[in-house]
Amino acid sequence: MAADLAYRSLTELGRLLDAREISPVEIVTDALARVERYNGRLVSFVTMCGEAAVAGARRAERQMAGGRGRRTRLHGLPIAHKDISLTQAVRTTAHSRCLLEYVPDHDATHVRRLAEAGMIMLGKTNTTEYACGTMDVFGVARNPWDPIRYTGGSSAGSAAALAAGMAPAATGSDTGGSIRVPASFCGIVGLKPTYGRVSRYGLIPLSWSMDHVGPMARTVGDCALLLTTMAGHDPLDPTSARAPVRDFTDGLDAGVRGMVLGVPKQHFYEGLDPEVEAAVRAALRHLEVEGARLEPVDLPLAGHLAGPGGILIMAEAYGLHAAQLRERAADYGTRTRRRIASGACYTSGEYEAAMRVRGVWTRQVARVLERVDAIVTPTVPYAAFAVDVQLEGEPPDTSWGTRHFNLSGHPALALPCGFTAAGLPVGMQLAGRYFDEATLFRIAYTYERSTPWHNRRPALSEAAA
Amino acid sequence: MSGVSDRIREDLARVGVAVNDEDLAMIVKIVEANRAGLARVPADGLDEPAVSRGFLPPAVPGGSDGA
Repeated sequence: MAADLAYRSLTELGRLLDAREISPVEIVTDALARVERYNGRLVSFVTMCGEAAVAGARRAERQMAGGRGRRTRLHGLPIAHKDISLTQAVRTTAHSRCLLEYVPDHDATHVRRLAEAGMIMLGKTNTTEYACGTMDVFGVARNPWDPIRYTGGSSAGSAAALAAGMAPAATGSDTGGSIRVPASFCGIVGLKPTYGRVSRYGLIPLSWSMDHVGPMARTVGDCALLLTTMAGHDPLDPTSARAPVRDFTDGLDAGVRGMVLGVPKQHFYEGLDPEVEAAVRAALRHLEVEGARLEPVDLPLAGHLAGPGGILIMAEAYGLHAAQLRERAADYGTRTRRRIASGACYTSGEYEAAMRVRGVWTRQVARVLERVDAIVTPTVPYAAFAVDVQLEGEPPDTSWGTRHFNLSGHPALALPCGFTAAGLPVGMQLAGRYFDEATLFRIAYTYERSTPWHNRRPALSEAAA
Repeated sequence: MSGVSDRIREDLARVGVAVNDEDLAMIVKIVEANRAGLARVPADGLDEPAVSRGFLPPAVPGGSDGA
C-alpha cells in the first residue's frame, strides 16, 4: 500500500488508482481505520457506512479491472456527506431528535450525482441541529487542530474529517457561512457556489432563499473537481439554474496576472484579531506579487447585514418548522428551538424591510464586481475559539463576514492563508461574479500552489473526549 | 415582564409555540437584536427601486435561468 494515503488529494489518489499502485479498497479501509482511531475524540462522523463503503470499493475495483480503468475522475474515491443531505437507506438526522429514525428512500441530487460518478460514501458528518442550533445528540464536533476548540458550524464534521485525514472529500451546506466558517477554522477549502448552481433537492432546508450546497476538500483543485460533478440544472429544484457547467479544473493554473482584486473599505477589515489581519494582508501582498492589482472598493452596507440576515433566515426557518415546532418542541435542542421560534415574531413588514436591504446590498456587490474580478476578505475575524464559548450563552457571530454572499447569492470560496502563533488556521474568502466560480478557483489555486498552508497537518490524539 | 416580552409571548402563543420564561428571555434578546440591527441600516438608497427587488435568483449570463 502506498504510504500516507490519509492526506492525499482526490487528484493524487486518482493518479495512484490509474497507475494501479493502490486499489479503492485500500483507500476506503485506510479512511475507515482513521475514523476508528480519531472519531471518538473529534465526533466528525455521526453515522458510518463501513460495510457498504468496503462493498462499494470492491465493486469499483471490479469495474476497473481488466484494463477498463476508471469511468470518471471521482470513480473509486471516498466522500463524506453532511448529515443534512438525504441519503438513500442511510439514516439522515440533521442532528435532531426529531429525525433520529429517519431513513430516506432517495438521495439528494448532489449525493446521487457524486455516487453516479463512482464516489463511495464513508458516512454522514456532524452538523449543528438543522444547521442552526447546537450538537446535543451525538456530541460536539471538535477541531483537529486543538480538540478543545470549535470547528465552526454548521458543516462541522465535514471540515474536521478533512482536516483529520478521515476523508479526502466532503459536502456541506451554507446558509450564512456554514461551509466557509468551518473551512476557515479547520484549515481546509470550502466553496459556497452561486445560488442555483448546485441543486438543493434532498437538502433538509433551513432558509429557502439563503441555503446553498457546496464542496469541501483539502485543496482548491479537489473542490473544483467536486463542483464539476455536483453542479448543473435539476428539474427537481425550482431554484436550480440552467447555467452551463464547465470543467472547473480547466484553467486552474492560468495565474492572476492582470486580475483586479477588490479590498473592501468597510467592515471586513475592521476589528480583526491582529494575527488574522496580518495573515490576510500578507495573502493580499502575495497575490499582488503574483500579478494581481488590489483596488479598494466601497461596500457601504457590509456592516449592516446581521439584523436583516437574521430576520430573513429565522423567518424562513420558522415557516419550514412551524408545524413540527408546535408538535415536538421538546425534541428540539434548546438553542435551536429558541432561534427557530424567534422567526415567528417578525412582522411581514420587517421581512419586507430586510428583503429591501438585501436588494440594495446585492446591487452594491454586483456593481463592485463589474470593476473587479473578485472581492477578498478574511473569512472569520478570529481563529477557532473554545467549544465552551460556543456552548455557553450566545456565541460569537461567526457569520460576520460570510452571510453577505448568502444574501446576494454570489459565489464565495474559503481557503487557508496562514496560522496563528498557537497553531490555528486562518482563512481568506474570495467572492466573485454569478456563475464565475472558475475565477475564484483560479485565484485560490494561484495562492495555494505558492504557499505552504494546505500542507500543514494537525497532531492528532486518539484519546476520547 | 416588559411589553415587548408580553407581545412576543402572545405572538408565539397565537401560532401554538409554548415557551418557558428562559426560552422567552432568549427569544426576546434575539428578536430585539435583529430588529435593532435592521433599524440601524442607513436609509440611503433603500427606497430605490420603488418596487422592491426582494430576492431574485441570479440570472445566468447570456442564458435562461432555471425557474
